[in-house]
Amino acid sequence: MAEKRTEALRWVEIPIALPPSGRTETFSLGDLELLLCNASGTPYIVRDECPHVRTSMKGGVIRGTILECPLHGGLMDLRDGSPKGMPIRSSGTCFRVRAQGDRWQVGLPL
Amino acid sequence: MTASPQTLATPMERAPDPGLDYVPIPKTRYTSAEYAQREWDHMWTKTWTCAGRASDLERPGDYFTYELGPESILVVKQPDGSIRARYNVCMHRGNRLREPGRGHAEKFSCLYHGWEFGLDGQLLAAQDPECFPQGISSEKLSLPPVRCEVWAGFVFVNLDSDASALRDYLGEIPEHLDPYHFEGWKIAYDCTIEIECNWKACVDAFNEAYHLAATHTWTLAFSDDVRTLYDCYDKHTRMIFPEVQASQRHPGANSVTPEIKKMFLERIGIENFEGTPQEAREAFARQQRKIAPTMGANVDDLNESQLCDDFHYTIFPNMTFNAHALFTWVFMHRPHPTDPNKMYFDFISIMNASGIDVPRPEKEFYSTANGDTLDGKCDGGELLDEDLYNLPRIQAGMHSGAFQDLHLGSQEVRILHHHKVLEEYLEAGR
Repeated sequence: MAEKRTEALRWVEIPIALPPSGRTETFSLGDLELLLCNASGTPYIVRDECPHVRTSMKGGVIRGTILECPLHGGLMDLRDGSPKGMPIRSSGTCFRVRAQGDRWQVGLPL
Repeated sequence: MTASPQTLATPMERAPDPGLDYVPIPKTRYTSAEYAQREWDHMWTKTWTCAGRASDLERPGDYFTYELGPESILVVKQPDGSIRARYNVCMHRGNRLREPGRGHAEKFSCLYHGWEFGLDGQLLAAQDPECFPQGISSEKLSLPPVRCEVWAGFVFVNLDSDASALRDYLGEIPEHLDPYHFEGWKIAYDCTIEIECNWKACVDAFNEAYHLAATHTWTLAFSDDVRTLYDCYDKHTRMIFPEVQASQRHPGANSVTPEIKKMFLERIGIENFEGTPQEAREAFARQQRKIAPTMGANVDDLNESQLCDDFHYTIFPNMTFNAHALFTWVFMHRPHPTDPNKMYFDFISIMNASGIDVPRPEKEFYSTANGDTLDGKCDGGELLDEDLYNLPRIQAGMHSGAFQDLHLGSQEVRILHHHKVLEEYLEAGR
């Protein structure tokens, strides 16, 4: 059986604390503006840019794994970035998150 | 000993006979767009209707929308803890501000031209205000308010700014239902079904027990359609529908049927029951009183009948309660914005469980046009599916040239009463 190929990633420590459950917080890594999301204790990271009108989603709230954009109320699934409610029609960009000891890391493309 | 003024107890005495004439009800009230428009103009825009649960608005900025006919209303938790309602429409060019559903906002921003409104509906900002030589009046261009009041954890709205207070409108209802303490109950199931029938056909389907023997035959082994009581009040109605008791028309009448044992007694931990039917009801009631504190449920103000039977209330025009001690099904029957042959059926199941964690479920959506059913989706899937099967067929049948009027009997008195109240609204609007 062929070995499952995984995308090579550069793992970088997340420089901010996990926000309270259901909330979001922004941070930057180089040119990337990212949004750290706490979905009932599980961290997710997406590019901080609403697929609708490209604005920041800082302040958006989360129910289950669904992030609501604070500007127009569009919905996006944090697990895969897929659109879950208008006016978001296209997918957002998600990044993998892993625990490293007691810290969280985000996987960025090499 | 006389009861203290604080004592809550649901009145059990029968309402006076409403003295209604058993007149034919024209089918056009269910099929005519002209009649639906009269309903909108003179009834829906004058009555208090339930928009949702206050528990969905925990912190400032939490909101849900309420779609009633052609209108959409934003119901929003305010920074001062109050709940306010505003029309969900940008006053610039008429765009809807938010999609249907619930969420959280710091402000409401219109995605068309970016006009921004505060949680209180006030216009905060308009792009390029200097381009409006006539000015931008915050007074004229803020989101218009909608009357909004809360009873028992249910948020009601009224499109009539001159309407009397919700409490006045509810009449007998708080006295009857406050003993359940619904304000602390939690939503355990939530769905909306688009049904291909007039909204009244759906209200009617739950306003009588006459259909049980034919539509829900299997339920006669544990519920008594024959001994159901019907009470009509000023606007609203009640039906006390005996459960934990077989129908008088069932072979197991006056016995503790296997279904009563399995679906009621064993479900709450009463195994190998031996005794009379009355003793079965007493045991069922007693056991619920025992279980209630473990769920944080207050059943102290409920009588034995309320611990066994379905206390079924319809708040005019469109809210139905199937009240039980530990769970209650609440239905809202909303009209379609344009088509009298369609409606939206909101179904929430609420649990008397303030002491345990009940995760708020996401709303599910179904349509009878797609053949969707509720089978397996909640405790009563099969029961509701049987009604969902009937309703589009009732609406289709009403369009027959051979059928002109509904021919109602005494077990259908609540339907007659519903029409009487509806007609009073329409007549008042003439």
